[in-house]
Amino acid sequence: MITIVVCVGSSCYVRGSDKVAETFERLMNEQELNDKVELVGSFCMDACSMGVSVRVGDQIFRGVSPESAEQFFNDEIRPRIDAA
Amino acid sequence: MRQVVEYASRTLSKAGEELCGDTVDIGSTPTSFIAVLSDGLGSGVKANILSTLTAQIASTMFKEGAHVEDVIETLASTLPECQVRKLAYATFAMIKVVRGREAYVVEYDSPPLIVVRGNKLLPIEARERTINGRKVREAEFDLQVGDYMVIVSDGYEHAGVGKLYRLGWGWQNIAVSVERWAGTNCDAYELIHALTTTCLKLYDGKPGDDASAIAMRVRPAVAATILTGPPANKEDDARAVTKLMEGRGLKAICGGTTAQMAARVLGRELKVEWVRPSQRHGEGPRKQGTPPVARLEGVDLVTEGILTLGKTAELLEKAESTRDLPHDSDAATQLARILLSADDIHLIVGMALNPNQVADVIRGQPMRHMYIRQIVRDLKRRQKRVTEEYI
Ligand code: FES
Repeated sequence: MITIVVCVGSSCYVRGSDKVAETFERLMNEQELNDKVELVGSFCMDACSMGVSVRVGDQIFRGVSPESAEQFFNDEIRPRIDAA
Repeated sequence: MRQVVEYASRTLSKAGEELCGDTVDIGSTPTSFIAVLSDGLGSGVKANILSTLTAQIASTMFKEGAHVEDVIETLASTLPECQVRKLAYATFAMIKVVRGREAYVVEYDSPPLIVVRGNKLLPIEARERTINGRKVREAEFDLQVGDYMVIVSDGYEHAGVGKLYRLGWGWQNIAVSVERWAGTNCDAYELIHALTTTCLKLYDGKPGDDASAIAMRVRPAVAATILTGPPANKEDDARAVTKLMEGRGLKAICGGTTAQMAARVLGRELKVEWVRPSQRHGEGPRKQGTPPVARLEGVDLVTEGILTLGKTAELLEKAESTRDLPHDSDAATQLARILLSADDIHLIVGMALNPNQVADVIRGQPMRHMYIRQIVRDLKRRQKRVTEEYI
């Protein structure tokens, strides 16, 4: 099981946390990953940037945007799920 | 224990009149409460002007501790004289309560105050005097938690005249109704609602006279303590959290980083109550602009900071009481509900700048303070006792 934490702190929230989370959810459904991934929210990760912060396992990624969410999921999250 | 007077009022205009000839003026400070109901001679514009002036003059003067004679003297020399009746005149009833306990009542040609204690009408001993040829009653007594008080204008006494009641609802019958409602443990809002509804029903929906009432209830003050923002110095973190946990009443934390700090200090888990977008059914479209709340054992409400405070400030600008708030459960509405239901509010404001918040760094002052100032101003305007502490 891999945990994806989407930051819903002030900065990330206004930069589209909810949209990013929606995209992740959609992809998790499409790729049938719901029993392999847990999606949760958290307050500020102390990594505020020009985009949304996302933690996958132990690693924090900054600057994910609603537009780049799908590609980020496929490039960074999917390989980690497959490796787990 | 601090006692406060909770109040609600409602004026009904005579059917067909746009302006009400009765005026209610309620002004209170954190330590004293003053309510005046004035009934202007006649109805319509003239009555409205007379009662408005009377209520405001009486309220201002009694607040400053003026004597009845002076107040009536001032009214007589200030009010415009009616051309027809050669009389400048509006009746009034005034009640002043200091520290929620010591009551002082003045009735100038108006129906007496109704006081109900333990579901029974409490006889109030009043001194009667004649000033300027008018009958004035004065009384002093002590209030207890659970006491209900009602001031009505004579439009209430006349409700239903010639119909259900030959002589109108009448003071005695109104008092009996108040006794009965007090037995249901209602609050001041429910009491005014019951009074107004009954009065309108007796008048068949068309009041034959201006009819107004003020409903009051004495209750213990409700407290709330809010912690927002981490302290300027990290060494003060634990102290700030302890202050919150030892604070009175409901407890709230506003600020993601503050919440994480509190969780660390308390050694408890902070759980962000974030619902996956697909599972947010039932709530309709999610409220724009307020992020989720979190759970932390021992704290009643945990929210994110700046966005929630901004939205809360916006809500407090308009809502006079919890009743005016939307029936939402988003963070800002919940926070506004806590603030509006409290009488004594203590704010512990952390002075740390958020290095991630460019505006903080530029202004050299946390952005959150702007909203806090606005919130404090709006709460004070509602006569709440607000104390602030910067750490
Ligand atoms: S708000 Fe997301 S990292 Fe700060």
